Amino acid sequence: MQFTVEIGNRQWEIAVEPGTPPAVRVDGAAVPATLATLHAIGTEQASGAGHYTLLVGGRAYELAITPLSDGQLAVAVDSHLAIVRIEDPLTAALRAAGTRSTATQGEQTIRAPMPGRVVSVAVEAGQEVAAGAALVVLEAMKMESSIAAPYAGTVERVAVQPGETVSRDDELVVLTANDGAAAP
Amino acid sequence: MFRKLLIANRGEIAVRVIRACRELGISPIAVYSDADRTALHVRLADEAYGIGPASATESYLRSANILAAAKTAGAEAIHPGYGFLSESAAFARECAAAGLMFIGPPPDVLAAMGDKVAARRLAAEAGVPTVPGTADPLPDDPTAATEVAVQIGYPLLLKAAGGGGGKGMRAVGTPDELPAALERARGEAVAAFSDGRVYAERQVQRPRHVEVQILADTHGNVRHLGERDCSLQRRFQKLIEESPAPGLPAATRQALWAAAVRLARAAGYVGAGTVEFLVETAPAGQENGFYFLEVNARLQVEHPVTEVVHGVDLVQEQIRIAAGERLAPHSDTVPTGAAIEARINAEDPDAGFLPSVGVVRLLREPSGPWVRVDSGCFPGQEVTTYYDALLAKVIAWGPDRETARVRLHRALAEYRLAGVATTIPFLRDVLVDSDFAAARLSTSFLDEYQQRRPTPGTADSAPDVPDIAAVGAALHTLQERSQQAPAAATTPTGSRWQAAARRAALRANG
Repeated sequence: MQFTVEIGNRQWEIAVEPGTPPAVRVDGAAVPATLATLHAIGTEQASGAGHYTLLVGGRAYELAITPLSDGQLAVAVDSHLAIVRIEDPLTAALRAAGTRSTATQGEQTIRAPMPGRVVSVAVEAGQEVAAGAALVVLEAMKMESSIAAPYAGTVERVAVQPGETVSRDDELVVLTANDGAAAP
Repeated sequence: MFRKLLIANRGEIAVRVIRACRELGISPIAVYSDADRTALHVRLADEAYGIGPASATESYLRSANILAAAKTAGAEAIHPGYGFLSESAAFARECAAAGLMFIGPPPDVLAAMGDKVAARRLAAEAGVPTVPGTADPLPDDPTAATEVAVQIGYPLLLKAAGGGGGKGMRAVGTPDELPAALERARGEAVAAFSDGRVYAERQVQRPRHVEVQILADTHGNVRHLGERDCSLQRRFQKLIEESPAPGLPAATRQALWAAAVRLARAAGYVGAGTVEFLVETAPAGQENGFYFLEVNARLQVEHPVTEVVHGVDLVQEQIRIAAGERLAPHSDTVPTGAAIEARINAEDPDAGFLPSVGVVRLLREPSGPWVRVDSGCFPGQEVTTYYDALLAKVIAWGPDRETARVRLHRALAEYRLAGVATTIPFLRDVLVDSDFAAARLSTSFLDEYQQRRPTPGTADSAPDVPDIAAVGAALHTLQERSQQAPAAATTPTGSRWQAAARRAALRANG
């Protein structure tokens, strides 16, 4: 799995392959890193944050990671704090889905880019929407993502309801492009 | 003894008083502002009552709300901690009127100690030396002012009568500097306080701040618990304190203790209190001159260093005295070893010690042999500018000062606190400074140290933090996803136990 990570004006491409432990490559170079979850620190329970001990090349760091309301992560490393923007597979897939859609004319099905839960549905059948308008809000990885209309059009059908769990590629909304709106 | 005691304070000192209550078998009652609903003291107490909005003037300083909470809880006594209402004679009177025992000196003693001129007069009457100076403002006529100044002696300090905070304060080294300095001091005093009165005091050269802990009961017994050196201050804010005061001749220490006890007797003092002195540095073997500064008629932030070297719980003593108990008979106070305290403030040492606000994202406090942590801090805590910046105190004991110093440095190196800037890196650098290690202490120490402190500090450099944060964020996100995926995407086969085992394996591997 490939992540693009940004802190300030620095950027890393980090590939993590599931395994025991997961194999980590940072900008192509293998990094000996293992993460272990701490369920409690001292006498205090973690405050909605992921608490970890991270070993990198034998050196131990303590990490507390909290999702922020804007989708970024507050990552505490020992006594230091970094605000991290991470593009995970979900957002990458969303962007890819958006790119694919604009290339297609006529009626098109907007599909779930990732498994998750439908938080809310913003449109109903027959409604006209502008390009970029929110259609469905999906929750995955504890983060909410808005599925936007890739082009201006009319909603033909809404296939999901709030609270429903969807799998990857499940149908969410069928959207017909307005004349001339779907040109790439 | 009281059955229920309300603590009219917050943060580490509220936690400290709760612990004393527990050991005395008293049920502790907390109060909290809207900003402190989740605070540690609220969770540690037996009961907790809201007393208003975050702003201290609408909560921790609002006596009516505190007294109402005490009534609701059925408390018999109120411990004010330090700061807030702890030295308010009016609050002490309100407590008495409401039938509550205020844990502190009687109202008239509080009033007398709070009036700096009255306290100074009392000290003089008790034969306690005060800084030579004028009780009255300097005359407007420069020639007359010069004559008064000569009697006080140079170098001297001009101070505004109308207020403090360094405004209108001027150091004057020689008589010919006086007229210009006086003009500038008056100008500043008028601008800051609309009050041009300026008085003069002898400037004590490179003094140490040494204070004596006293205890007095309601039966006329007064004793002291030795002294503390609190010379390491920044703008009159103490950062490192220790007991005993290193390097003071025995005669000077005994003279300080005796002066503090005389003053407490003369004042009719009851409870725990601190008499602060400026102590002159003297050539080796000579006795140091000292001058009375003020009385703090309350428990002090730095009380633990005294507790540690004397084996006395000062908060329990305060409560016992308030309950009418007698002090144990006075014996010569001999401290065991040495204790040093460091204050962990939410302040950024690299930005002029400006208050730092934010959410405590990660916290791991130190412990281990002979280390004490008095803290109100918790993960998820929102540090605001509504209150004092003090988050916690770390106190280390050793059989000698050097052992305590190394131990405190070790403890601070263990401290993990992310989310707000703290004084920890600065304190660590001070503790390994050769002048501090040699106990060359004065109230100018920190100002001078800041000039020579390496930038960035040696204790806080962490060049690899962004790389570690990036890797951690990626692994965290992967783990979050692996925990979500089985529920949403795949239909589990086999029993629920197998599914649970698979999830556990995923977590363990993640």
